[in-house]
Amino acid sequence: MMFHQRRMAAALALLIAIVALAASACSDDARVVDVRATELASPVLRGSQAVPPRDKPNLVLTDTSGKAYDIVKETEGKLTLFYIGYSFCPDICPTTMSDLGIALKSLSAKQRESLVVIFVTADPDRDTAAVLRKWLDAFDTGIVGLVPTHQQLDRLTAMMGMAPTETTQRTSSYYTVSHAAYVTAFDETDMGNVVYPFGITVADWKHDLPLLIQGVTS
Amino acid sequence: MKTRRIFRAGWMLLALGTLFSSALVLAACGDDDDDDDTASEATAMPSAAGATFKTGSLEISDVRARTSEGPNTAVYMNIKSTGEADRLLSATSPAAKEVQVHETIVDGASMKMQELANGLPIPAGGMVELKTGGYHVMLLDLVEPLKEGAQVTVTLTFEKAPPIEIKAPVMAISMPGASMK
Repeated sequence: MMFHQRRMAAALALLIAIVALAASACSDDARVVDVRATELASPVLRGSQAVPPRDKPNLVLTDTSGKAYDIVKETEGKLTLFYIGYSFCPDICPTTMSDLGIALKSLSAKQRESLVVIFVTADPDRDTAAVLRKWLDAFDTGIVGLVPTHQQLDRLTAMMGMAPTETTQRTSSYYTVSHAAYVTAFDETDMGNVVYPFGITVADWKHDLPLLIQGVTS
Repeated sequence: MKTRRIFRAGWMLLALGTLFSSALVLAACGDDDDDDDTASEATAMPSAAGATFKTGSLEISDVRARTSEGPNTAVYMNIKSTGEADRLLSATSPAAKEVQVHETIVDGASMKMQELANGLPIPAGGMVELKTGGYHVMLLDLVEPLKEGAQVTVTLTFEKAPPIEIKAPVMAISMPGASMK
């Protein structure tokens, strides 16, 4: 179970600690806040803890060039950001990818190389490889786009502990698809410890990406 | 399942609460590193949106359309009633083959989007914000891609107020920060 009462209590304690820490640091600059937080081993990331942490999904899907993409092998030893969405969506999906794309451009070439961003479509019927590639390129040409079969999609969401994607309003070609509302960050040991829920801003991404690349997991 | 959903919603609230409170406290500190970020992103924020439009007792402000990467995009705005309650029933645009009034629902860890079959209610004397993760006017099957700096015309039809044509500047739209709320 992803969400747990005891964990909630822990999270509440954490929230109080973070606010107190931030307040106590008012006379200093933000950089000092980060250093102190690291020294105290308190959370510095603006993402949330995944409860429980997730294993990187061990699946082979098809990428936008039509080649087999072994998720675990291809991303070995790299920070991996993972999101499921669809290009027909005009609201949260493009906001998430666009904000992430802006943050990616703020990284150094070396930082960018140690990071993989994977977008899996929740709508393989309309998101063909070509459609998905064109859409992702608008945000960042380096984002890996994967097109699963419906069966693979169901396996993937189950492995990730997500609700299955659900299609509504199938009566028209303008149907919509429900999907998970967060990005998962897998560290270089393939553990998904951190999630980024709806509400994460460009500033949050710019803050967290270099830390995640350094191996910070909380 | 119901309990699970409550936990899930609670968990998300906590997550957002942490973000929001930290941002709020840090923002209250005055000059810090975060301010640089906020300033450089301000150009992409909805506050840069265009004129105010009036019809009947409704005022429509902060109108903006998202640049399109796919076949569809969203138009956002604030609709304020200075008088009676009303309802946004439908919309049309020469820029799209189909226009629908939509709602995005973020329910704990998952999200879905649906057409508002009965339109979008605007309370008497109140304001409804159309924004990312909430309500939007959805432009489907765009005639051509909407690029930054362009302008898109949308005609809104209400239950009571006369129909009105609004012009939405096209811009990149990011997730609003805590300071925008």
